[in-house]
Amino acid sequence: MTEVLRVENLYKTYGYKRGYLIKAVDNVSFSVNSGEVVGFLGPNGAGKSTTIKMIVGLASPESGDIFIMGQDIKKDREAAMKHVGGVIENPDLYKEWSAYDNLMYLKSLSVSKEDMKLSYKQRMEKRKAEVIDILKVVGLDTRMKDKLGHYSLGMKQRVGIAQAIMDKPSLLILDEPANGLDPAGIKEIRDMLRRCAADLNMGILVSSHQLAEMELMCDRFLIIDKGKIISERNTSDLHNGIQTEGQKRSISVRVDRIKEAKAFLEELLGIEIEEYGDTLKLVTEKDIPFINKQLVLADYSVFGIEADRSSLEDEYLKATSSSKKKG
Amino acid sequence: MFNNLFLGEMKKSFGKVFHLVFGLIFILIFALMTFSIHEINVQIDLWDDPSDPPPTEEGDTYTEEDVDLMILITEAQIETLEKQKNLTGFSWYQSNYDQIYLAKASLRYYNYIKDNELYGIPLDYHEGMDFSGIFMSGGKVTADGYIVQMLAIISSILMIYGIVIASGSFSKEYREGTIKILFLRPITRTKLLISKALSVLTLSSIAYVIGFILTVIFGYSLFPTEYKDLIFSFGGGAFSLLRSDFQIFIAFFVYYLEMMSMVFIGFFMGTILRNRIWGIVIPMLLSGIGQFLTFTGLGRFFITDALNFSQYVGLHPVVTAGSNIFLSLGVYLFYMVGMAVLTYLSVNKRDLA
Repeated sequence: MTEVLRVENLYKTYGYKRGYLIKAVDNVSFSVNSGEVVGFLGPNGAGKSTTIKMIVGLASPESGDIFIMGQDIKKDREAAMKHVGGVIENPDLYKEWSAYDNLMYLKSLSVSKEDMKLSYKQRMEKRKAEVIDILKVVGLDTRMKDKLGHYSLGMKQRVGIAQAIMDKPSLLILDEPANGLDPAGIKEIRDMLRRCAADLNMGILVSSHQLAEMELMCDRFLIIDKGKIISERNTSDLHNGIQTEGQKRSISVRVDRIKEAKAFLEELLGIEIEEYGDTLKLVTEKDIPFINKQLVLADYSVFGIEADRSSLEDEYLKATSSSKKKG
Repeated sequence: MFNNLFLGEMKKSFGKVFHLVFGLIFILIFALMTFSIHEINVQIDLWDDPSDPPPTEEGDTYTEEDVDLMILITEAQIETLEKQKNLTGFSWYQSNYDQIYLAKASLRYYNYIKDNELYGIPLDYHEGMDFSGIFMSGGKVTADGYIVQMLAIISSILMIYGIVIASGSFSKEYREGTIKILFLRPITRTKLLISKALSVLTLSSIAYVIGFILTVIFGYSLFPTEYKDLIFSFGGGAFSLLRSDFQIFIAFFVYYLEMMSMVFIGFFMGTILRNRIWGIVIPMLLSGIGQFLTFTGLGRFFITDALNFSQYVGLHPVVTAGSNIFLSLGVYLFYMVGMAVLTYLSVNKRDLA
C-alpha cells in the first residue's frame, strides 16, 4: 500500500467578515493510500470543496503541504498532477465538441514518456483506442460523436468520470460523482470506482452528500466541519460497532435477571452500563465472546448479544451536531 | 505536449459562425473600399477637358531663390512659435496639431531640396492633414497608394476581429468552467497562457496576411504602378526618404504592430477581468481616453498614443504634441509589459472561485 496523497496542516482563510476571520480550512491533515476509497463528507460550507481545490491546485493554501505520490505540489506541480485525475464540482467540458473530441484533446495534454517514443501515427492510434475503450467503460461509445451540448446531465457526468480515469491516475478525486445519475448509473459508477481501487490500485477521494452511497463505496471516511476534520473512521469499524476511543465497542446484551446481570458486568468490566427495558448497553474494549462466556459461567441466560452497528448517517449526524455544540 | 496545447487552442477558435460572418463583413467592406478608391481613377480618366485642370495638384517646382526664401520664412516662423509656446505654457499642448512640428517638417523639406539641388522638379507637398504626398501620380491612386491605404483600413477591421477572439480566449473558459479541466491536466498555467497567446497571435496574423495578399492582388490588378521620381515622407517629428515599395513594407509592419498591440490588450483585459465584454470594450475605450488626454497635454504618456507608430514613419499626419519615438517606445513597453505581468499573475496566482 502506497501513500498517494498526504495533506499536512492545510490552512486557508477567506478574510474577515463582521470582524471575524473566516477560516475555510483550519489545520487539516489526512492521507489517502493506494487501493482505498476515502469518503470526504461534511455540511455545506464546511471546507470540502476548498480542501479539494487546494489539493488539485485550483486554490492556494496559506500554509500547509500537499504531497501527491511523494511530490510536493508547490515545488513541481506538473510532476504531481501527472498522478491525478478528477472531477471538481460540475464536469465542465467543451460543449461544442463531442465526447470523443473532448477526451482526445485532454489525453493529448498528458502524453507519457513511453508514448513519446512512438511515431505520430502510432501515438494517435493508441490514443484513439484508449479513448474508445474508456467511453465503452462508461457506456457512451454509441454516442461518442454527439456534441456534449446534447448530452443529459448524467451523460456529462459519465464523460467527466471518463476523462478523470482515462490516464489511470494514482489518485482520483471526485466531487459528487453520482450527481444526475439514475440508480442503475449510480451502481455502475460505484462498481467502477471499486474496481479502479482494487484492480488499478488507485487511491480515491470522493466527496458526496449521498451517505448511503458513500457507506457502500468507501473504506474510510473523513468528516469535516467548520474547516476542521471532526471524525475519521474506517467503515468496517462503524459496522462492527467499534467506537473511536481506544477501539471500544458498543454492545447490546439481552439477558435474564437484568439488574443482577448489570451489577455483575459493571463490577467485571469496571464501567457504567445503561439499561433499556430488557437490554443492557455497554461500551467496552472486551469482545463479544468474552462477555458472553463470563455471563454463561456466572449462570445467566443470554438471549442475545451483538455489536451495535451504526450507519454512516448516524456517525455523520453525531459528529456534526457535536461540532455545532462546540461552536 | 505544448504542440498539442497550441493545436487545441487553435481548434477551439475554429469552426464557429463568428468567423464566417466576420469574413463576409470583411469581404463586403474590402470590396466597397476598393471600388470607391478605384472610382477616383475612373473619374480622372473621364476628365477629358484640357482647359480645366484635374482635381489634384501636379506638384510645385522651386527655384533656388524660392527655397532660400522659404527657409528664411520658416526659420522665422519657428522662432515666433517657440516664443509663443514659452508664453502660453502648458496649454500650448491643448491642440491636436503642434505647429512647431509642422514648421520644422517644412524646414526639413526645404533644406532637403536645397542640399540635393532639386530645383525645377515637380514636388508634391501638402500641408495639414496629408503632407506626405506620396500616394499620387498624375493625380491617380497608384497600386502602392491603394495598398498602404487599404492596410490601414484592414488592420482596423481585423483588430476588432482579433480583439473579439483574444478577449474570449481565457474568459470563456472561466465562464464555462472548462478551465478546471485544463488546470487538472499536468501542464503549467504559464504554458496554457502562452499557448493561448500564441493561438491569438497566429489567428490574427493569418487574417492580416490574407488581407494583405488580397490587397496586393487587387492593388496591382486594378491600379497603375507608376510613382513619382522622388518620394518624401515628413512626419511631424521625423524625416525619412522612402521609395513606395519600401513604404508598403513599413506600412505592413507598422499597422500589424498597432493591430496586434490592441489585440493583446484585449487578451490581457479579458484574462485579468475574466470577462469577454470588458476585454472588447476596454481597448475601444482606450482610443477615446487617449483623445481626451491629448487635449490635457498628457496624451504622450498614454498607451494609445504610444502604439501609434505610424506617426513616426510618415503614415500619420502629425506626432502627438510633446512626444517622440523614444518616449513612445518607453510608454508602450511600460503598459504592455505591465499588462503582461498582471495577466501572468492573474492566471498563476489567483484562486479559481
